[in-house]
Amino acid sequence: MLGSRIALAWVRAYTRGLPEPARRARLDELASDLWEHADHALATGRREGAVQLEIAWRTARGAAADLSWRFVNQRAPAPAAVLRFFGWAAFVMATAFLLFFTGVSGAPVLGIYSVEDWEPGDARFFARLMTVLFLGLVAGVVLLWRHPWIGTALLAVVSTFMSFYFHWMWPMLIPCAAAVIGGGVAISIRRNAAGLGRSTRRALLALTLAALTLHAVLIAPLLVPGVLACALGATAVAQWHARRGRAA
Amino acid sequence: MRRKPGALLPLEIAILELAASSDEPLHGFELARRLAEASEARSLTAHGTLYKALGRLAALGLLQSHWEDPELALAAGRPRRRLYRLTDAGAQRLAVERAVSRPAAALKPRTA
Repeated sequence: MLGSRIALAWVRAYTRGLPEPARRARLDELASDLWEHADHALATGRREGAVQLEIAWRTARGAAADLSWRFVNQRAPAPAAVLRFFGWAAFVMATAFLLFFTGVSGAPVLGIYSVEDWEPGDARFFARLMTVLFLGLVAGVVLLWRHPWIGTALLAVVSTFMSFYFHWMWPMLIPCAAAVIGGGVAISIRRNAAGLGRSTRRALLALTLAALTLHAVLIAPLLVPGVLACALGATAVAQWHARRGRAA
Repeated sequence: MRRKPGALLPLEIAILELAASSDEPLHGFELARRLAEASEARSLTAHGTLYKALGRLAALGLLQSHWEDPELALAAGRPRRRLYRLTDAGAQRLAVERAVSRPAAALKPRTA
């Protein structure tokens, strides 16, 4: 049954977020196809394993056509969907980068490696600082789940501190901080931060927005052309897909 | 290369041919099975390719689809089928495609 499970998982994945009638019709049609396929194989005495392999292979070969069908049928305007995808990808990558950077730099504190070529005092201080930043980022990411505004504020403080402390790395750190804070705000708005008082929520939101604004002002000369280029590129790709879908 | 709007792929013409040759409406897997038989292919048409082609033919009005009665499917102990039937427009279009492909076939050099 593995091939059928793969096929059903795939159809659920690529129909996610589509209008319900189109999604339901495709799910039902594929369920029927899989049943008929297995029934026909049983009637002709074929081995179950070979049939499941054939079903998985049919799914894999049609994946590109499935995605193209999805682009034609999707409800949200394609450019918005593409931009949203890039936004989340930026949040994940930026968070991963900051965690990696601080984690590797703070590793000497845990005795994972030593920094013998540095002055002992400097090395210790740097490693301790990076460990604190790393733990702050980890706590921020964990808090996004239950207390998103607190998590976002923590991420905003840590990433803003990093942008200023390592000011020579601003081309890398400021976009990362902006992506992390932006993602945190988006998560907080989606999860609607229950359990916090109004004044606390306002204070955390103000802190986060201040950090985001600071970054936006600093990065504007670099960010604005970049965002415009990304938006134009994403729109062009989405339109190309839609045209191709209509033609197909 | 982009396809001309309204142009049919060989797979779509083959589906129309099968629908024309059948008295009964056909469901997706049956079409895939018959396509493989007709072309002596070892593997069936991929799900995505097949259902995208069927959707396009239905959108062009060349095929008409309907879901079979759920009670019928329940009695047979299987999921209900979506059945496809050739429309009048589909039959006309198939005739045009046949007429276009015939002179092209006649121009092919004979090898025997």
